[in-house]
Amino acid sequence: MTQGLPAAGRRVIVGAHAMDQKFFNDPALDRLVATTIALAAEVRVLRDRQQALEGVLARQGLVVPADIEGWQPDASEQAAIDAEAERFVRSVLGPLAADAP
Amino acid sequence: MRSLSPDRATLAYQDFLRRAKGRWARDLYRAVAADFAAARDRAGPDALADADAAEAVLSATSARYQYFGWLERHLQRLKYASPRGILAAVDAERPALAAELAAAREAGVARGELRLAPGFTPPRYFSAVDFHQHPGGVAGDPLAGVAYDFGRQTTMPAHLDPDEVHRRFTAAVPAGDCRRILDIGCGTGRSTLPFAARFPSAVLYGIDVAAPCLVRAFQRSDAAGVRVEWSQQAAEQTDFPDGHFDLVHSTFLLHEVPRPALAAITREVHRILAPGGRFVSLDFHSPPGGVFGAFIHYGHARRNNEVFMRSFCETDFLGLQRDAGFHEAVMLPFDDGSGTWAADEAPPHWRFPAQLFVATK
Repeated sequence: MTQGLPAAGRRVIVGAHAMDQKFFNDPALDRLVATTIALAAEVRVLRDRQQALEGVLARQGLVVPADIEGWQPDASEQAAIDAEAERFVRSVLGPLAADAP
Repeated sequence: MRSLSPDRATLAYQDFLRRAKGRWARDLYRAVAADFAAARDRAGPDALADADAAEAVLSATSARYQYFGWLERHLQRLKYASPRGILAAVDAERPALAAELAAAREAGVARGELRLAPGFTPPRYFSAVDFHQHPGGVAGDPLAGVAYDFGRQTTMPAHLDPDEVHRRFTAAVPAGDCRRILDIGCGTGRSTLPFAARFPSAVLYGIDVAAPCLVRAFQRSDAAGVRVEWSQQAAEQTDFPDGHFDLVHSTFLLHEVPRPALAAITREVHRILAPGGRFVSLDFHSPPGGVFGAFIHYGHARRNNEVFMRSFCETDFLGLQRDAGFHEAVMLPFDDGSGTWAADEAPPHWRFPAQLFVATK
């Protein structure tokens, strides 16, 4: 289990999808945990944004819950929502489809 | 000196990873310790006689160790190489950061404080490894030093202040008159600068093989108003005269080099030290806690691309220093500040086995 200098012409690398080390008896679990952590991180990012947004709006004296429930996006706002939703799904499901050596 | 200023979403993502690593260092670590003890009680001490045997047993039987391993590798990987990772944040600010670094590089060279070696080829052990999972390593991109500086904030889970360990190390270095002090493997200069206050009359030098880090180091010394002679050199073979320094120090360098390089560096440090001069190093060696400590530390090495960390631990570094001509060499315990959790977060928790090496020529 000792490591060392890689063979000539090779590197010990890590990349965005380098799921090269396996930790679970079933390799499917390595991907499932990756998905779960990606999801959890995105939820945290989202909650941070939401807390900031609600804080800004509250300071301006806006009635936040009613405004949010009644909001109707226009076409460009809807396009931005769609793009963000697509990016989110890709980030959650990406580890399941990533190449594994 | 411009720091990385990621957007709010990236900061929230990085904060999530840092907090997750904090729970890993405490909750998961304690869970693995309990599983290790249970496995030893079940199978007898002979079954877990060394780190490799413990790895074989725990990786097959402990779900909590499996999660521990996954999180150790991938929280660090995600920190750098994910859509909200440090490299993406660097790319988002690349033009401005690159312009500032280019200007700093030009100023440092023009003022004679920064000596870069055009065409310099770093040792292969350095260029062939993405140490601590930094994609491309710390010399693969002109902005790698900026990325490394940002990443340092979460290298050690308990170290919210990445300079704390360097201040502690500097304070632990034996006092004495020093005319010239050299930091080998100086990186971005975090380990070099604290010596200016402790040895105000000394001239400071810093060498590293990574030009991106040296440019960043010059920015750091320039911002602090401290003159440091930075140069791009390998510590195995420098261009300094014999007996040039009174003190040579290194921080977290020795575990990043293979054994032949370690021996060569030790001989070179001995050559450039004046008689009576000291070689003081802070590094990871002799993990406490017997088989469990070694099992955790060698596992960290494997999971974090620290490919020479184990071989350094298995090297008699004090003997190697004596072989190089040092007449005295000792290893001393060092408190790296890992114990600075909140009051309700008592040990044990994961930590690096930091040790202080002091050798005298």
